[in-house]
Amino acid sequence: MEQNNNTIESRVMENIASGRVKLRSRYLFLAERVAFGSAILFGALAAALIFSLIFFYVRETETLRYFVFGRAGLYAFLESFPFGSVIAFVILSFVTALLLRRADVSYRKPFVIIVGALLFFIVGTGFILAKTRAMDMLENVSRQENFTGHMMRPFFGQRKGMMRNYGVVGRVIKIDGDEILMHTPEGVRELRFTQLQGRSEDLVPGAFIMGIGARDGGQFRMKQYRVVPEDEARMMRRRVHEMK
Amino acid sequence: MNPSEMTDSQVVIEVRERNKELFGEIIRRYQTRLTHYLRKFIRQNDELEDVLQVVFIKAYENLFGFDVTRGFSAWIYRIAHNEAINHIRKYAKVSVALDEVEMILRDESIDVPGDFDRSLVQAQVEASLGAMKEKYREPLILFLFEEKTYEEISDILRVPTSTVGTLLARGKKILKEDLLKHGYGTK
Repeated sequence: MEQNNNTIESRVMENIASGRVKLRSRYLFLAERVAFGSAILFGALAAALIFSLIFFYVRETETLRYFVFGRAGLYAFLESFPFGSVIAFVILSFVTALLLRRADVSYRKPFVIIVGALLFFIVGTGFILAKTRAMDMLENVSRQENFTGHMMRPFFGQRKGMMRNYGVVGRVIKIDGDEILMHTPEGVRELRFTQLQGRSEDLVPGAFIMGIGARDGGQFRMKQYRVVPEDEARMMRRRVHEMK
Repeated sequence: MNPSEMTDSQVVIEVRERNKELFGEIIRRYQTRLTHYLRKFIRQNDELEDVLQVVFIKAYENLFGFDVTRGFSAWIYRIAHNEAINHIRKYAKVSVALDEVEMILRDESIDVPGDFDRSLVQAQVEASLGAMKEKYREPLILFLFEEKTYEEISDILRVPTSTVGTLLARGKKILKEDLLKHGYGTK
């Protein structure tokens, strides 16, 4: 085996001396590390941004408020909840965790700790972002008629011209018997009360309401509603305001 | 400085910056140890030589990827480990071959009393290791026969140090049970 070892050494050194085997450039390794580190950082920041967008969306819209109607509000909640953003968040977090797992130093720690630290970073950064004006600025960007605006819209639940099937939110324009005309984020919409148990006195033109029911062609048959307090569903108010 | 007095990291820096010929020193330091390690997976001499040559060539090509603040031994063992796995997968055969001297197992809990025929015990240990899942076999070989520490095994296999402990404990238990099942060792 001694002779074999010498053979191996001479063969390898011969390949090196002849130039057939070369050192890979240090800059190549540096570029790899920078690209890898950037991918991890980008993934974590993008996940934090999406988490912040979800948090902002839930806080600024009526989506969670549908539960005040009890089980009947479930469909309206499911319809308005930003599942796309949640899926994007989960995928980004997962991919970032996998990249982090492959990093040169992180393998020494258990995967659970790595994922925990990553989620802590993402959620922490997301909360900080949500507390800044960044989300309001992004919401403004999403209203612009350009590529960035179009890309941002799904994160703010904007589906232009698409009427919802189970929930409605907007400002009352006119009440005529059983029929209401409303400004909704999707446009002007006609509603009809059906199976409604009484009507409160605060349902007047100008009131901002949310309701559940079912879509019937161009109309919406509303079964329950509530007047939305001023500090709720602010994003929907802004959108309705723009529709005027 | 005499190359034989230099640390692995010093040799690597010299090779990277000034003297490529000094890579021969790395080969001389590791060829026996890596041959010993690769022998566990590759029985054929010519195949082993080919794999060993690839290991050294890959180590040379990627020298700038080695972090000189960390252990070179674990780094080059990592390359050898990957090449051994590639070889096993390529030829779809898992076999473990031990040298006779290796039959003094490092861990007393799974050692076999001397009244058994050593060659039979060796054959059984080889068979038991060969039948074991890869995730248990790899750390067990590195710990029992290569005398690597938990940290080094962690660096070679890229698993957390705590996981190395778990895999070793489970691997030793499997090996001991298998030896007992075949009539070797004591409870």
